[in-house]
Amino acid sequence: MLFAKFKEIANVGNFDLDLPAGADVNEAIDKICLQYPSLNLEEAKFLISVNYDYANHSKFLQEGDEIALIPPVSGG
Amino acid sequence: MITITESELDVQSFTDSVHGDENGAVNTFLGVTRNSTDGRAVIKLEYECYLPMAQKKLEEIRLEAIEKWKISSVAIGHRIGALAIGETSLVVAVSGPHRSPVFEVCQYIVDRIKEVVPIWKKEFFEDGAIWVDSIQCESQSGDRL
Repeated sequence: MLFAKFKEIANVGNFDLDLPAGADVNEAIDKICLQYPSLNLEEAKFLISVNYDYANHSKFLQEGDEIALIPPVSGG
Repeated sequence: MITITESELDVQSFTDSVHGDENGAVNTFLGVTRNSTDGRAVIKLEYECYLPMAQKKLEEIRLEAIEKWKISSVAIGHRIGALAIGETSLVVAVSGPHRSPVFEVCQYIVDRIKEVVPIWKKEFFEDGAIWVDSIQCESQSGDRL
């Protein structure tokens, strides 16, 4: 899922990612980079969440996991 | 009580919800939309939210605050959607037997919200708009949180 700046740049909020079994967060990011190069993730600041918790890039993913790119938050 | 809503925040209801006979202190903090940033006039704001995760993170902060500071009760409300200048975007109400931890924890909760809760603010100026970029995402590792 994409939010805020990322959602505007990619012009999409929710989308499915096809990943091989045993893929980790890094592979998901690589895939998103390919699918939405305009996000320029190599230069961007963001954290990753998996199923509503912040996650390391080495975390393994399961079928149906919900991944989000979290740009710097600014609530309050 | 955790509330994320597009409707106006009823501040009194948050303060009331943390009252209890065992408490000698109730502290309510309000975050309010400001009319300028770095000298540029802000004409309106919008807040976007990753709702299920924001609710989860706010609940974690609430429970952590109660556990660590041994206070009685915490209520947090965050407004999302379009806001005009001068509106309340955040309410944090805290109660406890004594004032010191209640003041302290209120500051902690607000700071923590600005670090980890996935809510984003967009400021609109006369000549454009920006997503406000806080300083917390210094690394891309995801390890810090």
